[in-house]
Parts: sequence; structure tokens; C-alpha cells
Amino acid sequence: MFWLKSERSPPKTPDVSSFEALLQRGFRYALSLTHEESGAEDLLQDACVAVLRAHGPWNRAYLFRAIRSRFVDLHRRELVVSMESRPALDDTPSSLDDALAGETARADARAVERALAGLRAEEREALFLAAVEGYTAAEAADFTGRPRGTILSLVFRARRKLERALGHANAKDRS
Amino acid sequence: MAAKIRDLVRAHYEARSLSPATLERLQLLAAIEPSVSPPSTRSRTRLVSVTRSTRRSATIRFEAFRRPRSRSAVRACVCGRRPTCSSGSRARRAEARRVRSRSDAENEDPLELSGEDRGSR
Repeated sequence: MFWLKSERSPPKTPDVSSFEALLQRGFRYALSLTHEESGAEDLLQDACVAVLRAHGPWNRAYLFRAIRSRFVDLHRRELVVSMESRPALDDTPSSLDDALAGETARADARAVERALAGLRAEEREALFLAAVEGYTAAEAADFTGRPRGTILSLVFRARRKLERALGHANAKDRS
Repeated sequence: MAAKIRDLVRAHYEARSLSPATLERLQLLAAIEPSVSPPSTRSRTRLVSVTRSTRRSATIRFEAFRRPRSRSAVRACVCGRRPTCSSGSRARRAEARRVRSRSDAENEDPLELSGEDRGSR
């Protein structure tokens, strides 16, 4: 018979709402690395299992670190190879939908999606940490183990690529 | 433009969320976390493995294990009052006792023996 109750009184899991928020943040971070939802969910689950195994604390720093290590383990080879940016996804098929729906917001979201897909995982990660999680360059450097200058450069390049991609998308939309 | 990009990226990620099924599964996973604390002398189960058996499910396997006996029980067993130890260690302890009693007999105080001798005379 399995005994699922702990004898240690204070459980390490936080309350439901903050834990859910933590998982959502973890998912978004994983998404910034994989740029694919099902892959991000798998990555998050693996990271949660790693936290569980290590009896680690349920906090952002620990979870993010677990996600990152897992991602690096799983995609080490890909990371080494992916020095070149991926080609941006083809953006022509959505134009008819856009015209029919007439929803510029959705079109913008798709444009951002496509532009992000064109970034390298490192660039997306740096951009995510800076723009969404509010890390400073020093914090992001400490977290990723990269020099601060590299982080600044990654963010700068990612932003420039997005500006170009979105500029093109906007020009296309206008024409 | 930089602020606009930041806002767009933030909005893009904040619009994404974990699917309800995955969220529920991970919450369940974390909810049983206290039960998989490192095995201690007070615990009766321990975590054997946490594996991902399918793409979207986690399997956590526990096994029951024998609670280690307390030191007092073991000590009681050494002096032979309580037959609670395993046969191997019981045999080892019995052998150790025999050796100890033999050496005790060999190292008896010679003065005491001479005293007995004197008394018997």
C-alpha cells in the first residue's frame, strides 16, 4: 500500500494560485526556448520532474534553471549547430485569412510569431528574459552563464531582427 | 521602437498559457511532492523513479521499504534477549560474543587466582 502523506508538516509546494503563476511563467520561458507549445509543455514537465527529484524549491530561479539545463541537454547538438538564424516562416498563406477576418491584432500577433520564429533560441531567450521577465543584463548574464556583453548583443540583435521583420510585415500589410 | 518591440514581445508571451490538462497534471505532480521526501527512518515509502512514460504523462513509482530498527532494539538483540536481528548478523554477533568470552577467560586477573589459591589452602 502506498502512503502518500508526508510526515514532514510544512509542504514545500506553494499555494495553488502562485504555483499556477509559476508554472505559467515556466511555460512561457520554455516557449521562448523551443518556440513550440507542445515542446515547451514537455520541457516544463521534465523540469518539474527534475525539481521534484532534487527536492528543490518551487521558485522562479530554480524552475527556470531546471528548464534551461533540460533544454540544453536535449538540444545541445542543435544549439551548437544553430549559429545561423532560422529562415522566417512563410507569411503568404495568412494574408487571405487576414483580409477576411479584418483583425489587425491577430495579424500583428501572427507577424510577431513569425518574427520570433526567425530568431535563434539564444536570442529569443535573451529577449524574453529582458522584455517579459524584466531581467537586467547582469542578471540575465548570471542566469545564462554568458558574458554581459553577449547578452546585450543578443538582445540588440534580436530586437533589430524583429524590427526588420515587423517593418516588412507592416509594409506588406500596407501595400 | 524598442519600447514597441518590448511591448509586442511581452504581449505575445503573456497571451500564451499552459493547457489546462498539463496544468492540472503538473499541479498533481507537485501536490504529492512532500510524500517523496528522502527516505528517513520514519518513512515507509520511498520514491523509486519518476519517468515520463508517454509524451504527456508522468509515472511516479514508489516502493515500500522496511523501517530500520532502532539502535536499542539492535542492542537488545546483541545480548540475546530479543530475537529480532537477521540470522547473518545474529551469527556474527554470537561469534563475537564467543570470542569475547574466551578472551575474557584467558585474561583473568592472576592476583585473584592466587587469592583463591590462598583461600583454598
